[in-house]
Amino acid sequence: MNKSFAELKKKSILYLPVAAVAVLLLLILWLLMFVYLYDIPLYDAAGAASFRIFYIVLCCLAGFLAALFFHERSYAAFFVSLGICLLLVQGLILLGYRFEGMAGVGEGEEIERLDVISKGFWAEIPRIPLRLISVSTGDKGQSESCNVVLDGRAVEIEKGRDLVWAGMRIRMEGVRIAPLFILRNLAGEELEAGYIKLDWAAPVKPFFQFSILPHRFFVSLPDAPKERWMRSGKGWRPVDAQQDLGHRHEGKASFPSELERLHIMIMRGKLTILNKIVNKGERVEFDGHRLEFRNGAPWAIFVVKRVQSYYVFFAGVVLIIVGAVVKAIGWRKA
Amino acid sequence: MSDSMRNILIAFLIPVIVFLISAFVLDKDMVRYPFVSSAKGMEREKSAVIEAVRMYNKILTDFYSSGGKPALLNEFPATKAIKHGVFRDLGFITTMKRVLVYDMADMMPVDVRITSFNTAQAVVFEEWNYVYQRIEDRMPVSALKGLGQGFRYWLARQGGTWIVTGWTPVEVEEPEDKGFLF
Repeated sequence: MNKSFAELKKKSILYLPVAAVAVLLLLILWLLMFVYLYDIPLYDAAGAASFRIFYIVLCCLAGFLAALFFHERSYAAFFVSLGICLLLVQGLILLGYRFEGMAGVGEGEEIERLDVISKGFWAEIPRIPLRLISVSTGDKGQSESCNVVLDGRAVEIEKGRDLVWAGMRIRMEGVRIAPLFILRNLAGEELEAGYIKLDWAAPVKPFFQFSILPHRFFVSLPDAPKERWMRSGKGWRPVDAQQDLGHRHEGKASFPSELERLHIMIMRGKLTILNKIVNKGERVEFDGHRLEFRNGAPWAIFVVKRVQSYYVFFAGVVLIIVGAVVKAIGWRKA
Repeated sequence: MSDSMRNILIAFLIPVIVFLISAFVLDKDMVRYPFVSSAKGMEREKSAVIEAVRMYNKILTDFYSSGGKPALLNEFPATKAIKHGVFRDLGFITTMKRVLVYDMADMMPVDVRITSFNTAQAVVFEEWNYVYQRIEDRMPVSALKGLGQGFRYWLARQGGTWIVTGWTPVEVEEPEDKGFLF
């Protein structure tokens, strides 16, 4: 029994590192190929199921080898294996627990729920106890800012500046105006109304819907750039440079302090029911209903990102250095 | 080759083989992407995207013409949210005691892009004819009308097929007047 265990241990120490190197090379090749050759985002490439499984297999191999080396009293190899295991675990933590989300919050409102921008496979959507008290729209040459109560503490946040709370980085991306849309029937009775938080700077025209109607209300500023295509020879070409839809349209047009006119397009299925510029207070009719918009209320966009710690990484590096030192001392003694 | 060298080679190859098998099984879409990225592969994929949009519009026509019969609901290449939106519209038309009959006259691809291994976007110009009918006896209650509209569709690969995940209207210059299209 002891002989077979010793034999198994000897073979494991010989062949497991080979298997670990094979897995490591595969994972590196996978990332190089998909991220650099085929422009797939790193998190998508590393989020693939087979990548994750074999990454965890590699962590386990490194940990198992560390235990074997410790049992064999090969302390240099033990420290190095354990250090490598910790580096891999750090990678898993970065991948698995990363989180980025955003929320639109009006004055007097709290962050109810974050919309996920990207999330690791183990990350949960965090609860941020933030209430927006007031907003400064940056009209008189000042930067946009807001006053919030975060976890019971009053704080002022300027646009683009980070606030760190409980391992989360909170940034106020900008202030917008949410127009008040009122839906009425033809008799003039109010059916539904609400402040609609529309991100004018979003690369795609925003839309909203009332709960009682199937119609989509596409709303934009009258001078906002539109996606347009024109014939060009036998093909087509986009008319404006802004049609690279990955970009946000920042600038003065993205945030007017007063909303006097809006371009409203109402669609139901494939049908365009209305497509015109509407003045504030003007009532427009569509499909047996009337719509108008009035002065809006300011709201702020918050982006929340998890701050990752690197303690495990540094611990891994220290252990590898310790392993190298132990090995050097061993050589010297020999 | 000595025994130990052979064993080392086996120790190296086993994880490689197992990894490749698991990648082909678990991450089919990502693994096929390098093959799709060739010029020929890209053209085939773009055709598949346009075909998905065509199927989307074809089944949409069926939903409206039948007054909301969900016979082809499982074949409808769209997310749950879009399906809900379509049936909300159908419910709205039914409350007006009407049926809206759509007929797609033409669909012209304007721009198709495979944006990643499992997402794509397509801009198309669609020409439709439509008429409202009475729900009781299917008699027309409106004139037959036509419309031309550009749409940008977002698509995602799910279960090996493209499905529509979103759309927005876009301005597309109308092609030459072909007269009334049946």
